[in-house]
Amino acid sequence: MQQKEITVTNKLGLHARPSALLVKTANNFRSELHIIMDDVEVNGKSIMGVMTLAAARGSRLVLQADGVDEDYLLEEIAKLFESNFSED
Amino acid sequence: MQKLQGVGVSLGIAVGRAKVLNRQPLQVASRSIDASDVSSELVRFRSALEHIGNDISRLLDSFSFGKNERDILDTHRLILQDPELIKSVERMVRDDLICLEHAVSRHFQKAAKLFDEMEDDYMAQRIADYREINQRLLRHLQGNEQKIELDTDTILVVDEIPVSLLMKLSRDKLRGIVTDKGSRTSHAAIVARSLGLPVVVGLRDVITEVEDNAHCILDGQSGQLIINPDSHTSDVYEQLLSNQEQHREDLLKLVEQETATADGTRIHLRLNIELPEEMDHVLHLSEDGVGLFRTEFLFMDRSSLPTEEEQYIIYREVAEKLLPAPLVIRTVDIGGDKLSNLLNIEPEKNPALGCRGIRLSLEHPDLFRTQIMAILRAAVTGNIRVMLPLISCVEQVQRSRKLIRTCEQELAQRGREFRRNVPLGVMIETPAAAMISSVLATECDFFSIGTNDLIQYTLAVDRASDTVADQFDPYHPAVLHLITLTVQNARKHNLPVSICGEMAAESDFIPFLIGLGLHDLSVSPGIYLTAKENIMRVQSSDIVDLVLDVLDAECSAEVKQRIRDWHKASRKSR
Repeated sequence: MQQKEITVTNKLGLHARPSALLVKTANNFRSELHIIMDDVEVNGKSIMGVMTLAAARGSRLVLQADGVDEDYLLEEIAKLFESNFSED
Repeated sequence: MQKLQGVGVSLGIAVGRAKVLNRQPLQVASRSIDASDVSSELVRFRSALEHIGNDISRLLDSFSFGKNERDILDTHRLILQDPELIKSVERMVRDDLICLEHAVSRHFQKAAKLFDEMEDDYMAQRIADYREINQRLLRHLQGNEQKIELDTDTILVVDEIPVSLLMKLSRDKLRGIVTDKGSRTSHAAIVARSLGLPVVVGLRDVITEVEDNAHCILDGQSGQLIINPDSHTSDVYEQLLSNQEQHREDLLKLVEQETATADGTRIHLRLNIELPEEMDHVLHLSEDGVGLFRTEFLFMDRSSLPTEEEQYIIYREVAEKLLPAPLVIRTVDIGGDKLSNLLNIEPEKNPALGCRGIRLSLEHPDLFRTQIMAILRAAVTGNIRVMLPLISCVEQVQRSRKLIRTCEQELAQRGREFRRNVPLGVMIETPAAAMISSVLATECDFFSIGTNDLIQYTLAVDRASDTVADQFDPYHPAVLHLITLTVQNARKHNLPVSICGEMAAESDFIPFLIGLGLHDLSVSPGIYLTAKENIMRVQSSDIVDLVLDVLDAECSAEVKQRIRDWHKASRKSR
């Protein structure tokens, strides 16, 4: 298992569109993804989980990936956050 | 016979039978199952998910949607594929031995509660997507998923029209739509107009008033729905309908022909477009491209401003479809009243005279720059021109030019590909702009006369006002003189000038406008072929006198009379 800590920096936080983008990206990998915020943990491949996390800008998240392609998965997801979900 | 009054948002007459789509939420009775039924319930679940998923994919593939609609359908697909949905429903069926329908609704009830607790209002409303998927699943499971199979000559009666529904319906059988809610500016109304489908909205409680299969007449002009018409009314409308059909067939024959006057002067007739979704239905109408691409849709019904990337993709896609014909993009022409939630501004008392059009863009340079940069980038592959709305003084054009230059610099710094010197046009739609058009001509690359606003601002008449709407008068000499002045000044400076707005389609004005030297017109798709028909009847030799006669008239009535006389004379001479 691999994990990585990131901060939500895009303006709207994990709003509808960023959530969808995150889940779609995670679905491209075989590994499982869990996202932990404070003491809540959700499935990173569940749109409902990610949306109801309601992670606002500035939130600290722990991404946990587990599986054969866990490194790539974490890398791609981290890229999404770094690029602020291409919100500009 | 019963008559219901609503608001006609798309003209035409439809005669047919009502199909009432009652999209009331389904209620689910809880039912327990035997352990031996579990596996068949689970198979049923997977096949329902697959069925609805395929439905969504098909819908996404078969139409070109705007970004918003695409996002919504994408989200629906993710909701269906959600591993937590599948896990939790399967667990309830297996462990609690409850029927599939009950398990599904329990799962979505939990979702509703989670969303209910969210503080962000916009996010809390996303529950609507879950509710829709919940309902679709249940309808499918209970075997009454609304297969929107239409009988011939159907008048659809719905609560409101989602664009996705409209695009799914069979065009050959659907004759018209009536809705309970909705407005003239709803996306579906716009698409219906460009499809030429009669639509009446705002017929309160129509869903319960009309019985399925009732014989109905829909009149998009008067905004009426007539239920079980008597034989006299039926006869009248049958006649109107057959005229309408005949006329439509005649018009369709024009599509193949080049747009030119009867004596062969080529006229460019372009389209006014409000939504990218319209493109596929209207592309075949014109080879001359789009003379007015409104961009207000980008800012409606959303919680955040559209990004540069989002706009760039849309502009590029639309422009590429039109090549080599041009796409004239009008920067956003919106009043602060419509954007108050996005820009954090106070609504104004008088939005028509307030901060709208170019004023709003210059007041909010970030919004303006984002749009300009997206346009400059899309212009690399597309034949794109940009046009500024509601100009009333030359400084607005100069400031816009300066801002465009800084956008070019920023794009160059960012290493983005873009086009320099994209043609910049000015809309002439205030009397002020028309009066100073000789100065404006030195500061821009083309003019486009917007007749609807020009009339409103010249005569100080709001077309939507109940009391003065009849004074919204395109025949008014002041309007005609301002148009004439603009065209003369454009010619003096060798500047291209076009005209968009309803006047550009009307048989009364087309000869006059062409006579003035306006050979570049742009009209909305619904009246495109009518405009073309009117153009093709014009004899250039006849119209010189008409222009002088009309400009010499002292009042609207006289203008109207002289146009009528001219029509009579020109019909006789043919």
